[in-house]
Amino acid sequence: MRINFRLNGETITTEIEDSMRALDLLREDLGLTGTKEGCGEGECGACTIIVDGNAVNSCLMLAAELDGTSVETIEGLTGSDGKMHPVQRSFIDKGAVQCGFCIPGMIMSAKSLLDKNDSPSKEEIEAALEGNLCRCTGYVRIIEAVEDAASIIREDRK
Amino acid sequence: MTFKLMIPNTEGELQQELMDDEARILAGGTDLMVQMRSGKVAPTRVVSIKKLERLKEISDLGERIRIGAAVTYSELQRSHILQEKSPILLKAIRQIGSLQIRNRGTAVGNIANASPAGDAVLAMVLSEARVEIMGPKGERHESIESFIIGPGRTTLSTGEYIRAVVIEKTDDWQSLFIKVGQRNAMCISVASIGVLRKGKEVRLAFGSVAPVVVRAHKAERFFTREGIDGTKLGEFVERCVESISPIDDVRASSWYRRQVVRGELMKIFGHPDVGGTDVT
Amino acid sequence: MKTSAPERERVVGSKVTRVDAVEKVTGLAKYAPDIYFDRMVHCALVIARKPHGILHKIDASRAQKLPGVFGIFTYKDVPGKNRLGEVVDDMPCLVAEGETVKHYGDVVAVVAASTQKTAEEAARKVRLTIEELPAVLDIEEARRDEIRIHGSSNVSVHKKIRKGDVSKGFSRADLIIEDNFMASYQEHAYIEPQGVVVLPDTDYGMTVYGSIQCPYYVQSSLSKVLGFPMSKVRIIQAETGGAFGGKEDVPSFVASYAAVAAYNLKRPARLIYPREIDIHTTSKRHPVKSRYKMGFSKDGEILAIEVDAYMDMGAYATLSPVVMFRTLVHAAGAYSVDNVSVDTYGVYTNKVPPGAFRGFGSPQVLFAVESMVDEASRRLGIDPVDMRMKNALREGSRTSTDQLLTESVGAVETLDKVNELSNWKELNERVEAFNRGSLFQKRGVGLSHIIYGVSLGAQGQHIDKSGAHVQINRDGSVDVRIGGTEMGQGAKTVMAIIAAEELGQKLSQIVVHQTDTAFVPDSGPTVASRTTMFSGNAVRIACKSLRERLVKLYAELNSCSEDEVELHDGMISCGQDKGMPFDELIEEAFKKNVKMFEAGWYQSPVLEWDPESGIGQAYITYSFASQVVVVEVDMITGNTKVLEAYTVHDVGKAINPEGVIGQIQGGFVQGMGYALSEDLKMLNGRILTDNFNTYIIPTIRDIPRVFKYGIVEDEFSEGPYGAKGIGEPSLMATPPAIANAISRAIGRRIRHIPATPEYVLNVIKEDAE
Repeated sequence: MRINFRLNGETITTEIEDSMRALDLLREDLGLTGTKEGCGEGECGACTIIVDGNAVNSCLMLAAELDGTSVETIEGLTGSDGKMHPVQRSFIDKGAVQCGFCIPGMIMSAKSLLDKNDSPSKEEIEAALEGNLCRCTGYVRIIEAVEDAASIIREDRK
Repeated sequence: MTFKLMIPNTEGELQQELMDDEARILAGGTDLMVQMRSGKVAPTRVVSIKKLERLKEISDLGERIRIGAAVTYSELQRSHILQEKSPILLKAIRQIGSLQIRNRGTAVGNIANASPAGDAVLAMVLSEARVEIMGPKGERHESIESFIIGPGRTTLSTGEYIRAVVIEKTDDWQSLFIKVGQRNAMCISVASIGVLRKGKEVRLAFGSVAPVVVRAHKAERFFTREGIDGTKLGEFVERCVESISPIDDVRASSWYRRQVVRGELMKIFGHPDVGGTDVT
Repeated sequence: MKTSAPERERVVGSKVTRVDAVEKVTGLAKYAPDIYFDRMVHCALVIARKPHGILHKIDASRAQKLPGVFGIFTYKDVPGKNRLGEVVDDMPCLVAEGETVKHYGDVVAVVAASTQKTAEEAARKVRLTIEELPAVLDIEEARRDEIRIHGSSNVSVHKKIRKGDVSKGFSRADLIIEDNFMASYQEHAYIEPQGVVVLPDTDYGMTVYGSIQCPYYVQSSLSKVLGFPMSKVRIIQAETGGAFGGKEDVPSFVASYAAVAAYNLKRPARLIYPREIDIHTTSKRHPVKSRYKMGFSKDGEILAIEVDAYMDMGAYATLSPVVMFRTLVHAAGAYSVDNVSVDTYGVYTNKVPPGAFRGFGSPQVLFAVESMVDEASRRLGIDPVDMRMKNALREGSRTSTDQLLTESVGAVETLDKVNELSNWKELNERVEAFNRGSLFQKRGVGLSHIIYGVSLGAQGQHIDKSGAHVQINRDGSVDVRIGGTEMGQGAKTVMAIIAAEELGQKLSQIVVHQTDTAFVPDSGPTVASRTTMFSGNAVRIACKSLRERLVKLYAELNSCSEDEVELHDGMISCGQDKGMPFDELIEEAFKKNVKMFEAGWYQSPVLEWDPESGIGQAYITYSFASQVVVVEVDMITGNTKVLEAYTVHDVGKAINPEGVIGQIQGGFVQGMGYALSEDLKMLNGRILTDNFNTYIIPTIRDIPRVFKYGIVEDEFSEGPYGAKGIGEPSLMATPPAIANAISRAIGRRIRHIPATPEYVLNVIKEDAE
């Protein structure tokens, strides 16, 4: 079937198989390999993307369900000028990255949170990221990074 | 997992698609996609309800609230009616999966999936939910307790689908939801306990400790009739425990589940100052 | 030669930005599944799915017919030797017809198809005829030897330590404690599953891109399986999404399966494990059952220790004999004890073969010995910190293998610091006060003190070496190539810091490349917390030679004394002159044909070791750690929450403090999962917890609210700038600290990890019912 959707601000029209997952469309057909697969059943969050403003697991969505939506992936966070999103910058500055495999999903969950709430409490950060497993960092610096990104975003809005 | 995907534009078309025995409805997909990946189900047709706008409605019916089949957990959490009128459902939803799961998963899907561990199901059982079913023979309504008949099994027959669930408003009840899991987030209940209390009336339901989410009707009546003062408490708890029939599975043993249910009930009802501030 | 000028700020020890972070936060980093080649096929594995039996027939006829299937490869298609195993090669690459299947995850065939989905579907259609044999599923059953899995006995490895005379020690003891402990499996749960792409290359050999911890192991394994000389097998490490030991020897197997497909089809072949296949087939932390007997004087001195530890090696020995060496050396803990007797045994069972996992056989026994010491301190009424302090190792002490410690023994300092950091006395009073007012929640404070031998030690010294290649390009950019690998721990950043420190070039101009066997000779495995020390020394040695040449050149150009030349942060200068940018000096070096590349090589100092008595220099040096945790146990559910954690590590020298902190935090949480929730459950040899909905690792909502750390820098003369290792010790202190805290909270001893809610509730109810 043919689907139309917005992907990182661009319009995409593409032919897909009915049973294809959103994750496979992004990675294999569209070459956006920043979105990762860690478990295939919505437990690890490595495949997190933002659909119409909400963080979702792209391994549990059919590609067909993207039709008519607006999708953001990790690749869309860096501007065409190469300028990174504050969440990306903060993950680097706060040392929240180790092996990096969970990071695109983690960042998408964080971005989705900060788009809605630029002053999240620690509890709200934890609630937004509870579906993203990380095995390297122990999460401490990930929380710090999101707090830092929130303060940068608030500063930018002033 | 190879199947044909149908995306009907009307409920009439939806009914047509469902006349096939091999068809499965896709709402949030958080259960179906997992089951198809593992090979537990292998439908030849998958029918998405994403274009059926009327199934996305939450409506205030006065004494009750109607929740459409395509309403996600996150939408329920954001709904003012639910926030005000069904604290028990919101408490249960808060403990389901992760944000990503709640952004896609639906309360009606939780009913259709009929898992004994369904947290939303438990809250809906306590809310005397009625399931609104459409099918070739028209509309029918059934209480959630009789609709779910076993793990993964409901009374739904070929061609039928759940259009909505209607729950009672329970804001005048004190509510408590306890989920015993294996970690603080993203877990499946090892045992769950839901309590609604209004004066001498009480409603109790348990998850993951029987083939389906169970209401402890006998114990509820005992509570109203006899109360729980002094030696009555132990008797009341035993009646609650009689309603469960836990098994050993990958998450915990039947022994553990019984211990936990008994212990939590003693805490909730026996030590109001410690554990049960919400209900007593 | 003058070393880095002390008055300048050094790169070593400063806060720097991770060198590979930008690619990782933008999604550009290439992991194995992100690498695509033209005409590439997708592979899936056919596994036995029976714990023990004779494989009579492999019937691929139905699978073969699926559209898009290119081939189904069995033992008949293995061009070289059908054997795998880095230390003991007792494992077939693909189980042959007529041979025995020895565990559920034994691999029988490799399917190659046009898509992943087709390959997996075809793999499910391959029919195996297996005549089932009774299976051996636990250590006790295996020890009875009624059913033998390999050769004459299931108990195939035994190592021992005999130091002093334990019976004499026990006869002097005022208190003797005996107890049994069980540490169960732990799954690595790296978020990126195993994965490789293998392709026929332009050198008429095979090149592998993969998620790999030890490229030289993969090279050697593939050379045997393919029957190629090693020079025709090239391994390039892709970004690796976590490993923790799980990608030590396993990628050799993964790459071998894919190579069989690539070889037969003459096409690139990709094999990415679904999570379930990963959990069913790949290594884990060994289950270890141990019996401890310890004797103490009434003032808390440890007089004797006797240990038997049995490890479940699963169906194949793989790395178990070397894992057991570490179990042996660490079994007596971090203390000075005159009388030590340790026996460790490796036992075959019909289960998945465990292997390397952060700590490598030591966490299981460190949990046990620290539980024993805690119990002794309780019974003797001695403060747990004082108890450790009394027996701790110091300079001049001898370890359990009678190794004399002459330098870099930060043990006592970690105890002092954790005492201070946690406000120990006040913390204990606070917890006692809480417990007086709480009925259903009980809190406990737990302490642990651990030792960790750095690098491969006496039994691995023959492979304990590392190479590096450093080259300065005409534009001043620097290529650093090492034989160690970056798997998330931060090796690249440490190497870049060392190169920047030594060469004086800006950190941003230094590129540490993905490890490639074509550039650097066999450098041993990236394991045992050895990379900072071994690859680090190799890089430092290479950079020092280059630096000497640059200093000489600058001195010549500016007619100044070499002694006064300084290189720092992209500038080179002499005395008070205005200096010259690094890049310009390199331009000059190129014009004058100065050699601008160097190889570095570092090898382990020789260790004297007697395997018969287990006496000698077990490791080149040791890292130490002390930890305090506060837990809260729900007395109704048995659920434990870790509320506070205080941990102090002696790392020798923190070259990259940010990286050290990252290891400390990550190791703690991984150790916490091992201690509490990560329960690998099996039924008849099949793992039931084969994905993250049943195998429960910590989420962001499970970490302690208070997390404080301290770093002790007791420098080690052989280490670069004094560094030892932190990768593994970061985990080991946690399981015993948590177990001791739970024990104190509930007033009963925890003897099993993971201490799941169900286990803890069982212990709480033990004699109450």
